[in-house]
Amino acid sequence: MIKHITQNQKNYLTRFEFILQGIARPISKSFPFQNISKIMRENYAFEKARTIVPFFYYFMVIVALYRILDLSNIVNEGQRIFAPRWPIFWADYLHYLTVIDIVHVFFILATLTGAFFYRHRAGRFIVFLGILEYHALRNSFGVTYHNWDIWVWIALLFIFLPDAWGSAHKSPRKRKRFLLVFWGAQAFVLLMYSMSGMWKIIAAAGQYLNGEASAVSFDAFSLHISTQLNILPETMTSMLGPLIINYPLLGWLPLIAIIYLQSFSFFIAFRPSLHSIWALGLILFHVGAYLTIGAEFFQHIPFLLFLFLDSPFRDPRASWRQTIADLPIFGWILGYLPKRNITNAV
Amino acid sequence: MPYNALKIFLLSFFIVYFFAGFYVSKTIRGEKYLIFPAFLFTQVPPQIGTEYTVRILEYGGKELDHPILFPDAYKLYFDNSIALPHYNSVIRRIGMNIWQGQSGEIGQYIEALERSFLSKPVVYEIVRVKFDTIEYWRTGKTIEEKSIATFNTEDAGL
Repeated sequence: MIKHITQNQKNYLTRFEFILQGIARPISKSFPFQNISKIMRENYAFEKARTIVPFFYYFMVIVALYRILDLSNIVNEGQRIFAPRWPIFWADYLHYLTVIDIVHVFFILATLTGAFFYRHRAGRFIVFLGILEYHALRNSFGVTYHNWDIWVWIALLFIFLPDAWGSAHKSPRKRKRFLLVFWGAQAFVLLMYSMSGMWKIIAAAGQYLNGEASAVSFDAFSLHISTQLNILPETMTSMLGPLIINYPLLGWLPLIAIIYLQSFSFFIAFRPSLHSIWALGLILFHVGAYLTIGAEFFQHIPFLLFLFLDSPFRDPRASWRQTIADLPIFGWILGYLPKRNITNAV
Repeated sequence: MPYNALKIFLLSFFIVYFFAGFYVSKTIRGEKYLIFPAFLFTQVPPQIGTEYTVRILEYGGKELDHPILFPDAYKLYFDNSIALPHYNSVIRRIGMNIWQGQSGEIGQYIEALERSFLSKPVVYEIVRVKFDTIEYWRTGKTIEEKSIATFNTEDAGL
């Protein structure tokens, strides 16, 4: 049966497509940032990214080996509660200890495969499977360890890297796609922080309007710390927690800085000049979080180091002025300030 | 994958993950496997807080001279491999449900909690504790401790 489209319907579709293109085209052109095409043509960006990626796979070998040291804890935990997550659905058919052995051995073999064959998509896929299976096992005891999520997602994203090693790297299209996926991994890491920062801002607004202590209160950080220290076992010590509880003002500015750092993280994905300094800030945030409230998210730090500290997109010729101008809020304010006129008449 | 298709894929991935994180934050547990809404240390805790904890009254069939709170009993009586913070959320869930009159929904949480005990019978109570957060950290003193329910692991056949 042939469907007849009326002239009105045709006009409607044309207008809709026009609007869609009006929205999509600017995003598509400028995404992820306007001069990425220029950056992608530069040798340094691609060579740097291509050098960084293997280190992720080498590092995973160390991670997999160190997981063996945690075996006894996993054995004990699983004997009380073991509810297999969907990636290890097959665990229901085997003895629990066999499942542990299989997952750990597979994790080690998968990461070794990745260390030798990261240049091939199949190798990267096997690493992803190994990480996914271990991550699923580790999260099958009634509690979710979200600090490991990022390993799974980055391993998944890296599967989409083109095999741009060897002679294939001379293809401009492959280089461009390689850099785009690399940037995608950067952006995803930063997105997670922005989501955290966004919730903090929303909660701060809500608590402030309700007349409660909020993130802008001077004692906010000390309340966070004391609440957390009340929960943690006495065996866990907090190096900086007692100092901030006793002198709450010391924690006020760092908490505001943390919210700023987290909230604007995804924006920084589009500002390569800030990649390294923002990563440093986030690393310090994780260290500070552990030294105060005992929150350990060190699993994110390798990604901040690998992906950002020497970001392939950062122009080595960029000045410190450009870096400051790119800062969220501060850079925007500076942009609106009147510039000094220096004339040759002086 | 062509370059433009890759761009659309990445953009879609970010949007889907963002909204998935927002959606799962509204669920009961506030999280879903592999989707992290990043709802960590989001709200500033109040100065005067209430918490729920477990107090051990009898252990191994013997009544304790001084009932002991679970965080302290954890070191004395229970296997050190238990990760205490993992059970705080379970105890909190039990306490909140009982306090709000929803005792019928705590079965799975009680079971998860009681599996952490050794095979010896334990009589324990769920206690609602009111405290000044900073004062409690400094001195260990609470404002009010109120028992809201008592359980016996022997009843569970453990």
